[in-house]
Amino acid sequence: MRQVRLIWVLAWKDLRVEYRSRQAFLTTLFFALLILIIFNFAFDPGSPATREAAPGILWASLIFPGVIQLNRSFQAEAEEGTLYGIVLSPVDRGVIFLGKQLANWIFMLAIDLFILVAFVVFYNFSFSWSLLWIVLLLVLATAGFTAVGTVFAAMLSSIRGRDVLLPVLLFPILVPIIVAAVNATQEVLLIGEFEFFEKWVQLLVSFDVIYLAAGFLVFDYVVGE
Amino acid sequence: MWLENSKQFLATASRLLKVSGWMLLPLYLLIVIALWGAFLYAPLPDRPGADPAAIQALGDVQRIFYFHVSSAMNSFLAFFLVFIGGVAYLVTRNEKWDAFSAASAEVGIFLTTIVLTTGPIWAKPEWNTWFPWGDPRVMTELVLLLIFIAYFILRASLPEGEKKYKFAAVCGIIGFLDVPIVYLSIHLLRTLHPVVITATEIRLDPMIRQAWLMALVAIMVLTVVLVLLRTSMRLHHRAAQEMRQQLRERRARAA
Amino acid sequence: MNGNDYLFAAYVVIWTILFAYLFFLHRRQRQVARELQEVSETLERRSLGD
Repeated sequence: MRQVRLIWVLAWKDLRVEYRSRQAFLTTLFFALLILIIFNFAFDPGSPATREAAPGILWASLIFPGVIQLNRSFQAEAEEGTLYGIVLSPVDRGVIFLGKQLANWIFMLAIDLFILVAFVVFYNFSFSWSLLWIVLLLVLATAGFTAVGTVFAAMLSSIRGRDVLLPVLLFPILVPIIVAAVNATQEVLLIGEFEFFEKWVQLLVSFDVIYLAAGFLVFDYVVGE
Repeated sequence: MWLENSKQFLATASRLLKVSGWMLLPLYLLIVIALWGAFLYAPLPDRPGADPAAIQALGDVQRIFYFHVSSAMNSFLAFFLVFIGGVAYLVTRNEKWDAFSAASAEVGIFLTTIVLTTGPIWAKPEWNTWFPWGDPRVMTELVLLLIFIAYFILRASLPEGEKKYKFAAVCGIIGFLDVPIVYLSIHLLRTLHPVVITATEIRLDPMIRQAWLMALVAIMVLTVVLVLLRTSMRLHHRAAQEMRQQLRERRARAA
Repeated sequence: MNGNDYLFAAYVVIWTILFAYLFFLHRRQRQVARELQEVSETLERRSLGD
């Protein structure tokens, strides 16, 4: 119980920092929106082909802001040296990982939801209850994304050139998430049949479980001295 | 502890070098046997229902399969060794395991490159496509190659030291954990959109299996020999670095 | 001898030459190892001396 509260305290700290400097949130959100719009022009705007590719576009425009957010989440800590403070506190490193991951997760979900609304408008889908399935996908995919991402971002926070290194390390690992999320979204938005949806969700859940557990176990080696 | 590390590295490195030396002659014989198996012993595959022209056209192309598939299976072995070395390093904090991990990753990249180059050459006549994006095995190989290239990019951007070895171990562990998930995701994708592959069915008769087994054993021994050799070379390199470092420190203290 | 026999022969030759080279490289590496060992021993003797 104490551990759960600690996770929340750590996450809440990060979210409060984010809330106080809303600028970062807005910039990241704006960046995601721009990607969405640029994709629309990169393909034929409004054509059926673009609509077919829409699920892929949605997920591509969520990944890039996600990487920026992950980089940022440890940048301030590394620059101000506050990571030392947290690491020195008598808290299990795994708990620190879960706190950080939770903060990133919530932050990215907030962006994801805004982008989802913009996406539905731009690509002319309708607002219906079935969008809740996409929200479920967002929650699950973002959990896995931030689980791996938090480990790598913490690792790279002390390295020069981390801005390029993070996506280089992260993207290959994310292949299954992208495959699962894009195909499940296709079923919801374009096909309207939930033939494999459950399987994709299972895949996302197993990704989340594996990498949350792995992050919990290895975070000690990533931030410890 | 003056020279203690480097002495340890040297001892292990020399032992590994000796072992890999003993394995060279058997490896040579195994490779020759595998070549014989693939080129002479294995019959042309029986393709029930295919028309004679297709059988004639595909014929010997199938012989690529023996080394291709064996390399693929051993690349998984090599990346599994990276994982093992990573865990062992994090538990024991012994640099030898880092050298072992890095060596295995190199050999893994070497094998995946073989797989991803011989693969298209075989797939074009057999499946009528160079690169079957929907095939789970091909995709897993591709993702593995990308992950372990990233692994070396990470290694290259860190100076020698405990931090580098820890991070590399974590990266290797996280990367290897991805293998089953990638495989499952592409497998599911394929059941969803069946890839149009114009393959004629191959019946694996026992002689084909035996020939393939010869290649598998030969490549496995090759993998082991290369990993041992590279681990030993890496340890020699580390020993030399260590000696230079300690000498420099000693001079600085004396001055 | 048919085509495959010649193919096999060619590959055996290739690998034989490759392995001859590999043996040579291996011996060279052993030599380097010995030299490193000597350097290490010399360093140790020297450090005992001062």
